[in-house]
Amino acid sequence: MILSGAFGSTAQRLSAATRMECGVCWAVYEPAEGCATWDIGAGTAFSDLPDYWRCPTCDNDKSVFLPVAGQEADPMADRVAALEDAFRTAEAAFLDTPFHNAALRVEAIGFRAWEDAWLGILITPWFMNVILLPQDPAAWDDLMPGAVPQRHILPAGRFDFEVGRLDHFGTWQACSLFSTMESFADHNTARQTAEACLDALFTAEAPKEPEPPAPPEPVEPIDRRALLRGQFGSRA
Amino acid sequence: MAELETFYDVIRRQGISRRSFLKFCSLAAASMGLGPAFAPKIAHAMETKPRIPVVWIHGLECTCCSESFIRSAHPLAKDVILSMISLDYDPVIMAAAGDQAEAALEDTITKYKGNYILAVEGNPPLNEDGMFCIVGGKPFVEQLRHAAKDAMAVISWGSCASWGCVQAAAPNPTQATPVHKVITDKPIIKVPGCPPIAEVMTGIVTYLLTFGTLPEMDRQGRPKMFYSQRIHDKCYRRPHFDAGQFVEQWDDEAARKGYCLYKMGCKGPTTYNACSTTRWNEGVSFPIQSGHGCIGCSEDGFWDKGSFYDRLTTIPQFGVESTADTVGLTAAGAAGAAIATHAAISAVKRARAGGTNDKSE
Repeated sequence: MILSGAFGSTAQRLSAATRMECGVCWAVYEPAEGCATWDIGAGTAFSDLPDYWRCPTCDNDKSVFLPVAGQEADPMADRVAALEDAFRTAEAAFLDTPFHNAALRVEAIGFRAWEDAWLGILITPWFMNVILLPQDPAAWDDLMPGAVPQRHILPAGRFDFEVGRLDHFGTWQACSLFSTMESFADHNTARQTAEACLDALFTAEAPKEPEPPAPPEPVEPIDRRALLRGQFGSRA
Repeated sequence: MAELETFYDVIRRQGISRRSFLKFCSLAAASMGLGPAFAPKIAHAMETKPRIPVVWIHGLECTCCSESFIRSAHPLAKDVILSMISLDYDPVIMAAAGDQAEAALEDTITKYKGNYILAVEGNPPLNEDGMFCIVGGKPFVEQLRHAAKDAMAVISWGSCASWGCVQAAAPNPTQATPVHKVITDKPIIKVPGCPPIAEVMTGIVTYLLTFGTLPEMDRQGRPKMFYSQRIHDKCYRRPHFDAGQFVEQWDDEAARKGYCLYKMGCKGPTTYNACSTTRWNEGVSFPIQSGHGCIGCSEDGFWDKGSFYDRLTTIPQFGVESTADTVGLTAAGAAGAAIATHAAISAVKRARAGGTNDKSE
């Protein structure tokens, strides 16, 4: 899908519920309703529309559509897009290093809410990391980058995350999966691997059966009188 | 086999409380990445199993391994670690000398035949029939072969014994040769590093005593619990690397801010060791933390890989451990998906705190 002009870079930011408006005739595509003209079922996201889909009113193609202004923002999508932008800027520093795999690009995969953060995987041409972003932007301001790794418990085990901070982006936590990325032949393989990593992170390893607690020993009530007479333990 | 005291007997005799002993056990478990559930198992082994007799011999070396070992910051520190094993022969720290010392060596070899551990620090030079290293009037290589013959297993301490290190650097005039090329019929645990981290050394000894078996090792013979991650994977400066923030020159603004040292020749991305997790001197610091790149001292042939300050130009993925992961990810199609899953699962295991060895939760 090609979106025109300034929206080219925001294509991935569209959430499934984003309402889109034709830039020519102002017709609005409502994902909740679908599109009767093209026999599109209700609940279809704009980005999932088939390539042959065109504006039912003026017959322009999808590239002229823009998000309707004033919609409720998706804070996670915005934050993840900012993360991608921050690391896209860093790519220049790696072009002349053996870490750079030109077949790959910066892409965030599978971000979801997890505890008080958003967890997902970031693919770049020079690393693949599990990334945590704080839902409250100021929440990790007191963490010192490089000081103490933050330990988090996921279904797959305990993981130590390093704290990172960029002035123009904010704070994140990262746990390295791959670096270099040279073993990935193409971006699709990297993406499949990232998705499989997320599955693996949220799969518990053969959980151990907790042992049933031993039945409590029957306790004989202590006879106060016997105790005072020195007959504790053998009730006469 | 002669009767030996247990580790527990020895420390109780030294007046160490049971509480301290149990604390030692849980810290020992944690240092091996085993989780708290293993502490009682370690305690049980320490209480019941006799101390392992260890013969520690020295070839061409600088004694940095011994220096590291005796500084183990393990909770009960030096003297206890030395009572955990029964160090029957070690010319560096034993009181006996001369004929008396050589007699102690013979004594141990005969008395504990097949039951002692041979720890080798340094390596034998083979040129001129081994004349470049003489111990007790004989070439060291003969002492090594003699002591290895009846050993249960061999520990190769440090990069000298494991790979050859500086004395084997080109052109290697004495033909210094790593232990595994001379002793080929015994299990060998390589503990590379120049020197190895003290807690790694004592951790391996604790593992041997506790489980009575060799730890799981990689294809190069290094224990996976300490050598399965690269410095780069767990480096505290990694967020700077990720963000492309590099030191370009010594003492520039970036150096003061603690940015990544890759461009100053840091070998962290190709070096398998526990420095970035265990760190040194009771966990205080490690080279990168004090502002110098990793020189890759635990890797094979690190003296011959160019200057310590040369930037890495090739970075083999997963180092020597290249397996289905590396080969497969370049294959496309349906088979590719299955291999991506396999690579993902091993990456997640590798990334876990405590590495692949983390058996408990």
